[in-house]
Amino acid sequence: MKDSFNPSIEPPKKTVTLVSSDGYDFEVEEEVALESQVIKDGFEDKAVDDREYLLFNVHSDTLELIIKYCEKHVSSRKSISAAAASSSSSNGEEALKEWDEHFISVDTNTLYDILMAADYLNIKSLLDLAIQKVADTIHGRSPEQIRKKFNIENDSIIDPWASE
Amino acid sequence: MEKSMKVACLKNRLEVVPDHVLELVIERLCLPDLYRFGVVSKHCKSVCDPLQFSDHLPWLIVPFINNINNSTPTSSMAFDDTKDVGFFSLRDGKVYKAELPELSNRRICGSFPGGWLMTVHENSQVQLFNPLRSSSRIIHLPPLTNFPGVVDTIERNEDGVSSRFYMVSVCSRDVLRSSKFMRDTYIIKVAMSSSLVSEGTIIMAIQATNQTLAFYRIGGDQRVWTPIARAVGHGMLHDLTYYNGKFYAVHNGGCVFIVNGLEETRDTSTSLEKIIHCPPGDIATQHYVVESSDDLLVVRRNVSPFPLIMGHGGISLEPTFIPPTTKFLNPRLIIEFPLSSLARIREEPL
Repeated sequence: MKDSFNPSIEPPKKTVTLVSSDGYDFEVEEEVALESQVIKDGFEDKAVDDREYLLFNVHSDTLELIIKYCEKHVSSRKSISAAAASSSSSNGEEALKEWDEHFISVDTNTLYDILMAADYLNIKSLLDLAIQKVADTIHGRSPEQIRKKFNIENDSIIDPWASE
Repeated sequence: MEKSMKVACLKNRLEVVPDHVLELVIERLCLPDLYRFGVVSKHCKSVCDPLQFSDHLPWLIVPFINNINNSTPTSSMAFDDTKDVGFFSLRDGKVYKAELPELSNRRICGSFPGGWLMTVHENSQVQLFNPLRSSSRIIHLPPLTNFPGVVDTIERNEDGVSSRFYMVSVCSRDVLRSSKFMRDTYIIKVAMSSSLVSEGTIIMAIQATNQTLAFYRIGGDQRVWTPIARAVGHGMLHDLTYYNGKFYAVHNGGCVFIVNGLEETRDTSTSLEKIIHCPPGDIATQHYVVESSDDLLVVRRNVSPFPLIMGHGGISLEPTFIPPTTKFLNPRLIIEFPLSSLARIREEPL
């Protein structure tokens, strides 16, 4: 397909600045930042030149991942709806699912970070993804294996399953 | 990146995860996972509460409807392709998912203390299955074809599909029943003589053939279900229980029978003895014999009209149907005070 528009007449993308807890600035497109329900909720009330968000609970490492996730989801949604509009077949949703699965295959500490950030920023699809990953990690594991996996100290007095 | 190194050594990060997030995790765990997760730490235990086991007993087993990923409601109690069953907690009114492939395509025809379930498959298999055990979860019992009322099986080929039919004796006539119908209706009620499934434990069943009794002794020399001869005035048995070392059964008129002779090693010496005559009053649609507060009660249920739905090869009660009244009769009181028993009938609406 040939380009149907001239990039030079595209309006400049509006951006938002996200500041991580360790003081790094991330400039992202508005629609990417709006994936967060928390940002979206107060967005219209904020002055256009004051669209900077201090994210006290999100470390830059995590924020990078979160932004990557949101960008992917915004762009995938566009291509999926474009494919639907032109009624061409697309496996966009399948591909996105695969991407998600790959994205969330991280070590436990990163998973914790993503879980906490997704909750803090209220990004529902990402929170669902992380929660499912935690549930999948628990699935089929013994209490001792769960402790090891999630770095939890055993402070229980008795373990009724230990004898089995 | 170096920055992530400092968090790698953090312990117990689970404790800072907000409870509402942890609750969402818990919602997605199946029951065995929940049990294991609940003992990981005190914190896990506190968030899993009200999931702590003993408080939740008894569990009711219900079909599990996945309300997270699948919103299709179903009121069907069909057992086909059911891998996941739900454990309904009377304590918090929630349904917990239990992944039990062992129950796939099987009907649960009875449950016993200690977590044992008796299941029946349309291929005739009868099993004891204990979802709470980690090993020796399944014990094979003699199949449906080894019940005294089952005469024969017939394989029929219709349109290239082979299906099995059972020839069953009903009122001295042989009738043909589909395998699904057999699975769903043939074993009416079961009771077991011990919560320990070991040599000598007896499993008693009411079979659909004339609603009579048949039993199996674990570790015995018979690999069949042995019939118990009908007594005079036997009628159709409605319910069965094990109480104080004896099997008790109640028939369609409300009389209570006791099974004698099971102590003998020869299984032919068993008999039924009527110990309580039919209670006065109208004949009820359904009778139950239940243990309650260390006593044995006959519960009568009057259902009129009795809405039946045919489907899935079986009969099921209308799910929304609530029986109007229940009468409690205490058989002991009737034995001891046969003349004054009328005054001792309690009537309690459910």
